Amino acid sequence: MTSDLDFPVLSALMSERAGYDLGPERLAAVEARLGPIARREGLASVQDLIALIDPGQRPSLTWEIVEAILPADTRFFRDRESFELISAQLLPVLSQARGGVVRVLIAGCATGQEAWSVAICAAEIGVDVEVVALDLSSRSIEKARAGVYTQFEVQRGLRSRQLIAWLERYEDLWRVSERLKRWVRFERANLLDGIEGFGEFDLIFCRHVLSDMTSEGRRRVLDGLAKALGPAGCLFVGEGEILPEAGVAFRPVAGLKSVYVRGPSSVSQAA
Amino acid sequence: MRLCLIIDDSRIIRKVARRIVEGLGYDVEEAGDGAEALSFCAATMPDVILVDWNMPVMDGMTFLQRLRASEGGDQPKVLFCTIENEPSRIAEALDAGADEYVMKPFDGDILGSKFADVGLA
Repeated sequence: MTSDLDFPVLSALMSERAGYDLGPERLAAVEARLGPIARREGLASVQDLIALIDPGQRPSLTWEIVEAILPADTRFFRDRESFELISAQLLPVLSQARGGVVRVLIAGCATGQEAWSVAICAAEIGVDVEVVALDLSSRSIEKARAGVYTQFEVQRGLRSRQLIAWLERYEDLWRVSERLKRWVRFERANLLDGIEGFGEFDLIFCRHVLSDMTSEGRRRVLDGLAKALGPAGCLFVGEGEILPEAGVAFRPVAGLKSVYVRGPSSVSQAA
Repeated sequence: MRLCLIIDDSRIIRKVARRIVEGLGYDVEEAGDGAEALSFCAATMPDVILVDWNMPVMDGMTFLQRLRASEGGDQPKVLFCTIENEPSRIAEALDAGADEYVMKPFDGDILGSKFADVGLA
């Protein structure tokens, strides 16, 4: 059944629009995600939906397909070590150096748990932050803004003390409290298009995003992140993620897992 | 091998939890209420305890208070594992000495994540 899908069309669409490297191993998952859209459009099959892909004529349907295929899995305090590092060292140091608000970018925030986790870290140690969280998927951004999560979602990664301190019961769900919401702003943005409009950041989280991308997509995103990262800033990638293209703009920090700082080339570009 | 005691009056819940906890690399013993669990702990103190709140004979809160007051009872990590999901109940459990709090229904991912949160690999 999956073998009937026009894979090259999808693969090209994902690469062009999102810099996403759609491998054939994801075909079954793609079919499952596109099935509901095909049914809603009154189509007999996912292949019929793929035949409608036409960014010129059907821009919103085409984007909806792109968004549906992009993975959106995330959790509170994913890869906990990075959060321990920012709480214990980076946030206090940056806050003191800046004499005020530390700016944090979440590049590829999915449904927002990572952004809230950073805000919780900062609030717990009394550091003021401005978290800007971006994602390509408008559905993810809507959910992130609402800050409403299921009982399953809040129990993955969020400690119970943190849960009751920063979220409140909302019917059968949990909702991020207003005290936390004022630190975080969610916006829809395509990292491929550059992120100049959002200013300069002290910390950038771009985790479990780059390793799913095409080599070209990764280069473009890293280029944009390098421009957005302040000279003393750090870039966090996901645990175990290795960036072959990072060498130009970023270099890894010895002794710290998943942390990069701006490399020599980006510094000289800036100078 | 490290030992986990699962305290719940539902045999089905104990069975589900046992399968998950064994998968995390623990030996598992079961108790059907707090009183049974206290006598078990008096003989063999487990490394970690999953305890339901509402049970006949002795409930989970009473168990926790007596455990923490007993000799060696401050050692085990205790995770409440209950249908109660009011923030005030969660706070009450944590204040009484629970290390973490799991709301039912849970799955392997959640329990594994909670074990990691209290420093159990």
